[in-house]
Amino acid sequence: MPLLTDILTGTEHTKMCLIEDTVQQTGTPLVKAFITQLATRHARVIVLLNEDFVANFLRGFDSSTVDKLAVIDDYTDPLGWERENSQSATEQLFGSVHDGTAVVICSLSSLLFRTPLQKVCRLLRRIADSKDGPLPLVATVHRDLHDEATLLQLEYMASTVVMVNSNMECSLLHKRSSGKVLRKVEVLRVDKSYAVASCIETAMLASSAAGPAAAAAEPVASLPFSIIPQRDAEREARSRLVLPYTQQQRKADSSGGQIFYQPDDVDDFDEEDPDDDLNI
Amino acid sequence: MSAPNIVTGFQKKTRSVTQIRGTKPSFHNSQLLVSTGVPSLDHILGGGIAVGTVLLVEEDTYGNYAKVLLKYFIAEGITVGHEILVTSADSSPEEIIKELPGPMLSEPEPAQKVESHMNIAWRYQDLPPVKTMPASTGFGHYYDLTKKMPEKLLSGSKVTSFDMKDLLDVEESTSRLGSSYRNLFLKLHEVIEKNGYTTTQAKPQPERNILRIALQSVGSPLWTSTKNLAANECSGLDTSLTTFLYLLKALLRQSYAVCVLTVPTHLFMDRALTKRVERLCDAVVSLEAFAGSDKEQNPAFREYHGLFHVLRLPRLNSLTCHIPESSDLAFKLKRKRFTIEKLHLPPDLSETASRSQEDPVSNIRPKLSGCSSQAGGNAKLDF
Repeated sequence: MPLLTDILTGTEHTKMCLIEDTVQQTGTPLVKAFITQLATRHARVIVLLNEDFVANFLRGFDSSTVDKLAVIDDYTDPLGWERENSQSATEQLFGSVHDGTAVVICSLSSLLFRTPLQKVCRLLRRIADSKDGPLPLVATVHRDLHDEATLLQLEYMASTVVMVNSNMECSLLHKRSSGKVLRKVEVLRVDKSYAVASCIETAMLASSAAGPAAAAAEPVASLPFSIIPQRDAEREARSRLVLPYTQQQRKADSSGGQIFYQPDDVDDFDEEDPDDDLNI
Repeated sequence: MSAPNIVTGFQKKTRSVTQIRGTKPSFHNSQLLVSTGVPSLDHILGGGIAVGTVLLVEEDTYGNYAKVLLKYFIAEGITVGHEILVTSADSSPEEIIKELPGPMLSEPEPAQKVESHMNIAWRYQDLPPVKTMPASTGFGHYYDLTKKMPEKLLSGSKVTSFDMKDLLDVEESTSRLGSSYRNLFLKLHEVIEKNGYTTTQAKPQPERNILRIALQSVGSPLWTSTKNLAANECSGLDTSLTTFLYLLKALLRQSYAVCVLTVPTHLFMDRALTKRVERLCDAVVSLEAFAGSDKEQNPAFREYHGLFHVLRLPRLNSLTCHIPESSDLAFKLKRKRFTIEKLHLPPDLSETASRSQEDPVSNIRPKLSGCSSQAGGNAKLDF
């Protein structure tokens, strides 16, 4: 099963999923697919919406999904100029989370315009750590609006990062709680009611080809003779071979060191010292 | 003739070095050392971490191996009976404690008689088998990541843990430290004073113990103070982390305590901040994991999980610091062992093995078949 569908359906557990998109390719279909899937698994899905009117956003969802959504409107009056003494969006968010809810933030970019990054990170941590246990959290951010430092820090906080490239090609980075890190590239297609139509995995992110390993095996394979014969008969013959000096070593175990010299018939073994006739 | 039974006035001078469990004096200077829980890391650091110093572990990109090192550190403290203090802002410290690996205390399978008859190396037949476990001296144990820390060891030791999120920015402070660092420092100071770990509170010998402080992911996005942000952006660097480290080092120098902290320095955009943080800690090591980077495909790095860099070693009461044998180190994490060893390059079976002086990273280029000269600097050698 492709990793993205696993994450969507919840087979792969993820604490916080960060969806990064650009102006060339919006991640909205993916977010809405997420919402549809989360609505099937959780009693409520709270959406903090600060990019669009609530009515526009809800268009296209199934009625069963819409029933479970609780959309907090952070778009019409985010800084509270017109409302008086009512709660801000984040306070509303914390007020309404309880067990069995999932939280979707759409998007973090607008939040980052008016609150510093550290406060946003703490907000995310607070959501993740509500007293009933970790809530599944999905957040979107627009990659081209922020600098590298901000994105790096947000990716650090997230356990899954989906970078949406052109033509809905999603580069996934998934950090499992066991420590394993998975990186995949998959193409996602979503149909009209935001259910997953297809998800195909493209080639894995590989930088260098399988060249070096294959090349290393080549020199040995291309030789006319074989270096590693090791047929059974040869192995037996080798094991039967008696190594030199084994018998003598076993005999002379106690003594310090001995030289065992068995001269061949071609050896010129002369007892005399050849240096005797030097007149030194 | 009776054997002379001379009574001499000679008395062996007793060592006045403090004998605290789980510590040993260093061989180079007589600093009191504490094990990190990873024997190969102890070896690289010159025996262990000196009591009263700070070890900084710069995290790898996904933070997993740094977390494992921290777990080994805490597990070693529990095995030996030290007091532990754990805190973290990114994950819950209770979880870290629950996931501690269990020590491999029992001896491995007893030296079995080597039944197989050695054919080629018959001279080594009768030698005793090599012992790979360290002798159980109470310093430096191996841990099995698949086993959990046994309950009786956990309950027998004193572990204090608090989640940093309770201390983060509780009230906005105007001091140089952001309030998260300030609260943490005050808490550390309180624990050290209350439990008698300062060097001035002379406890009698049998009661002396070491406090191990494990701080996870200090300096991550959750720690930065939100109040001084505007001012800091103008002046350039956030000084809370560096001020905290300075105060921490001063506090530790007067206590029987050791601190290991992991910092995600890959998130610091400004290299100057990383350098300052490194300068302020005593021993600094950095982990560079291959997972997720393009070095993963490099055949030279096949057996290892990452590179291990020793960036700084402390010079304590001496003229020089301990110098490790090699600076090309790599680490691998197996279930029963975390080893840090010299990076061994696998044998290069390609045709350029004897000629090329380049390192294998740049040696990966497409091989041209046939007798034509190869790309690169070997054209002069080929006919």
